[in-house]
Amino acid sequence: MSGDACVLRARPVDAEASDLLAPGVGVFAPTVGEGELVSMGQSVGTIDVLGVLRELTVPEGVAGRVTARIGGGRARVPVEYGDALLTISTAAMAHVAELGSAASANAEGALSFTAPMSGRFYSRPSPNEPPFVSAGEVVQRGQTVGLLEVMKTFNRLVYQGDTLPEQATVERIVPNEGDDVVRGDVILALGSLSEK
Amino acid sequence: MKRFRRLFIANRGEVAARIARTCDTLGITPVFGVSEADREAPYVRGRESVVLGPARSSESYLARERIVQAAVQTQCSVLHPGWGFLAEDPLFASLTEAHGVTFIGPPAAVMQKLGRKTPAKVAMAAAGLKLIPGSDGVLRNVDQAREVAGATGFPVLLKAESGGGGRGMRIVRNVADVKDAYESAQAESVACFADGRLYLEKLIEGGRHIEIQLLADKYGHVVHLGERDCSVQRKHQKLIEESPALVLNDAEREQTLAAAVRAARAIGYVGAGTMEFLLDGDGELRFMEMNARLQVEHPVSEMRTGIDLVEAQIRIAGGEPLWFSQDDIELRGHAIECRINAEDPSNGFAPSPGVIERWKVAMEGDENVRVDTHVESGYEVPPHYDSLICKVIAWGKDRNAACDRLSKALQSIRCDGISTTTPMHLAVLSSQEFRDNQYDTRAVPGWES
Repeated sequence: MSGDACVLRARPVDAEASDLLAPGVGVFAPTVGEGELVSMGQSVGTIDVLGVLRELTVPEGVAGRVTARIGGGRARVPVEYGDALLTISTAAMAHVAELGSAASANAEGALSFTAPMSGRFYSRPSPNEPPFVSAGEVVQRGQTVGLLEVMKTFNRLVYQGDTLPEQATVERIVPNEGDDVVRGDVILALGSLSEK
Repeated sequence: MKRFRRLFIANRGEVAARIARTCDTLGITPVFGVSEADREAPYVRGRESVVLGPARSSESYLARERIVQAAVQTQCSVLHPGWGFLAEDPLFASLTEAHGVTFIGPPAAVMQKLGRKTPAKVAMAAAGLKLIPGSDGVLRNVDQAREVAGATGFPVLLKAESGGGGRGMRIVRNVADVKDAYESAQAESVACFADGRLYLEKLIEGGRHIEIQLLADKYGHVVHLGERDCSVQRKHQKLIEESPALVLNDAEREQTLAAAVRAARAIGYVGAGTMEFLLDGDGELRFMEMNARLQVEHPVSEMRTGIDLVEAQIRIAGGEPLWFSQDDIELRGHAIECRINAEDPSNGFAPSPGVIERWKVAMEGDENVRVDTHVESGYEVPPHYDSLICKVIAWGKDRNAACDRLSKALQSIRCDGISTTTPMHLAVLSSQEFRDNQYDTRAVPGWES
């Protein structure tokens, strides 16, 4: 059984971090971990209340890197009302603007996510962390798929755009780590989910 | 028989502290469900607790799913609902049981039956309890209301079948007013309870409120722990309770106690429960309703019998047959309790929340004085919940001795920072009307309000 989605409440910890708070008593099953980037509308896991699962999503105005997660690495964590489920550091993202709507479907109908402007592409938040997405994964609207360094500032590449479906499968990440791309270059080659 | 190791307390304040005390003596770990407003309260300090939600009761102490989930995830096998909040909610009782947690109270079906007026009354009458004269169940229409009112004799009271808290209730003093009263009571009842059914009772003015404490196990054994007189009331809120009720004659007492036991057995009651009666001008006890829970004033009966009612509730819920019979219960002396509320009695009982800077009851060590409270120096009475902060109970060999001891205990209370009803209690206890037992539920004896 699953209930309605629930937008989490955020509580500022300091100027550069916010906690996302448990909406009630239940068992929290996170789907994001430390180091991952999250942004508004993205699902971060579910809460199980008497067998009913509710999707938990990031509220408006919160975006950044997960710096702490309740229960360490546990997959299911019993929580109480107001527990800090995730701590989101906005510091890492302070100078990272959101870039999106850089997508297109070409004539043959193959989907791709293209660079919104020219810059240097990075697939991971920092060199020793896992990439935002890898081939074979499903991306959904609002999800961060990479960083683009433009004039010494980092911009988040967010999967969104009118011509793209709600979800798509990543078939290939086209540029290599640190490659310079120009506006319009394909970054992700995508496959539509319905074809599978 | 089940042995409980962890018990979830789905309540707050004084009753939560009271339940935890018995858990301690039984070697059971209590887990408190608290709202955000109570998370730092002294009675949960050093205890296990789960924050259910914000201060607002609808999102914490009344949030059924949150509470049951909290009990399940803290591995509690039994839940005590206390009084008020969800204590008499059949839906909550069945939700709790459905998730494998034993609910302390009667079966949900019995609770459901007692929550509606007519089925409860029919069951009680069948067991031999006297009812307040009136309609035989729900009224069909205004004409029938007029007819029954005439036969019963004015004044009468029109009441909502699903009602409570004085809503959907109208006093009718003559036949010409029946139609208007019927229509407005019905409209209010539909608006409040989505049920327009009404019934009618004779209005008994100036009666005394008497109730009987019962205890039943799961196997049909029922005993009573005597009666309590709770006639010192303000706006239907009890202020002082005592046992025995000396206004009652012995024949009426014996007969009603026996009938109450039969009635509880007949409806399949389980656990601690209380039948409430109105003592009319002819000295007869007339059944009003049965409360399917522990009552605030239960210590009065505990002081007279030496039985711990919370312990009995827990053991009964675990499937233990009653371990004593009616003959084993000795009702000793006289016990009296007063409820101390955070209200200002000299200012129309205005609520008085705030920080209690200093709190002490000097007579707390006296073995014939019992103080049930969840407050201490520095405690902040939150503005979100009811105003009960403490109960003081005194025992004596007779009524005067108990009253004198209670007065002394009340005088030994030091409470700085907020107003309490203590001055009112002292005035009542020393008043002639109260000492002579000459008063009724309409006014507080010895106190002009």
